[in-house]
Amino acid sequence: MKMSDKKQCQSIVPLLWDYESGRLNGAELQKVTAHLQECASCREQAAQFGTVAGMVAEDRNQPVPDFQSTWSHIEKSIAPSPRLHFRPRLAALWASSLLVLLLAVLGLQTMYFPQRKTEMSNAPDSRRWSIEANITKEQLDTITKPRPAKIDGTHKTIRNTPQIKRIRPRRSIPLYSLVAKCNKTEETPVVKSNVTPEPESERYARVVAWGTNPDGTQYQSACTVYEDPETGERRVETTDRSGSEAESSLLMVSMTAPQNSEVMR
Amino acid sequence: MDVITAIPGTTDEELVNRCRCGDVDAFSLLHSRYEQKLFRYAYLMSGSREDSCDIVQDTFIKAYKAIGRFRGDSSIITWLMRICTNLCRTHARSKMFKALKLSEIAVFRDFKMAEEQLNPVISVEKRLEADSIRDLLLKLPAHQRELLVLYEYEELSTDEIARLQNTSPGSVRVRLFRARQHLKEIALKTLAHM
Repeated sequence: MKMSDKKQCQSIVPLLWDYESGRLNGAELQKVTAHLQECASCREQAAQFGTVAGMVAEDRNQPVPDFQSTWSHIEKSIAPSPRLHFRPRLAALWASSLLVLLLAVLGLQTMYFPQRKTEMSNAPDSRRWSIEANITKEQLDTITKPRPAKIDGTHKTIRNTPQIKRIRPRRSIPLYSLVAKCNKTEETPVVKSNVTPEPESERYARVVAWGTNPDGTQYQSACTVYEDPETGERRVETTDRSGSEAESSLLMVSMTAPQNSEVMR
Repeated sequence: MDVITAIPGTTDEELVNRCRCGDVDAFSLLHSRYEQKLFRYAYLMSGSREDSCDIVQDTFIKAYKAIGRFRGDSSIITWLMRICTNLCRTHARSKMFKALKLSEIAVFRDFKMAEEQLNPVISVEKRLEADSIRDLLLKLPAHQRELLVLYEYEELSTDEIARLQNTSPGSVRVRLFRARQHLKEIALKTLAHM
């Protein structure tokens, strides 16, 4: 066989299956027919391809045995889920359950903080104490701190309405946030305070006050309020950022209630 | 369903549009049109009637859920075939995995049994008639069987197969020729042993 014939065979063989299946037409059909007349090897291959292609063609028309439609299974899977219908009885049951749950929660809360509630209602003065820092400009200048003032829109409320606010009902210790502050005079600029409750120790709360001086500088001062858990007595310890005793005295912190409070430097 | 079925010449596109709107009846008609075709394809690929049922079922469920993503670039049957092909491949992999796991136990008992389970195609083929072309097809590697079944049985064009397999028509033609040649060799070998 010549080299050119071999190349021609290589191009013809891939077409033999389709030739035997009768799928070829036009130029390809003529090309293959002409080649097969000359090439015995390709004729043999064509016969082999023809046998297999014939088997495939015969099998193509055979039905698949035991075919069963799967639609019933598919329909179940794709069917839209049934809509939830309003059931008055079920709704009533849910509503009553929620009501019972709500009442239980409220009851527990009342049991949890009974004393506070009584005191708040009957003797507000004993609890609604405030800390006031009366600071002159000169005094404030001595305890300035280069921290930006955090005075925002809430300072007015804090300034004018001393209040006790429960922030977290954790365990049996009532935690109160903050203490409003500061009489605003020409000498006492706007002051805002913050309390960090420290229930784990004797220390009751730490109050940090900060504000802006009339000349635009910022100041910050702090005090710590202690409370005897048995007697309820509180004492207030003041500190300032400079740390010296002389300067600490410049910050006067007083408590309006309870009566037995003690002011310490 | 009856209304749609009664309308002659309801095209696949119309049915697909209705399926997109959640029309189960339209989908039912699509299912009845192509179920047998897909079933035969799955059967030729898996060699098991039960597995084919599962594959076809999963194909249509997947298709229904994803019909909104069908862009209409190809025909609906090509798209269904693609889903079915992927499921067949997954099924073949899981079957082979199971067979391998079983073989770990079987290898201590009977080498021959283990050999059969390592090659599930052979064990499936042994249960069938020896002179069936389907037996010979099952002896082919899955990728060659897939091509032959798609071209010869499902009568997809090389372009359609190329789209389905994300490849070029030229590549499909080359691989199709190899698959045919391989099938021919297997057939000759089988006939020689008979």
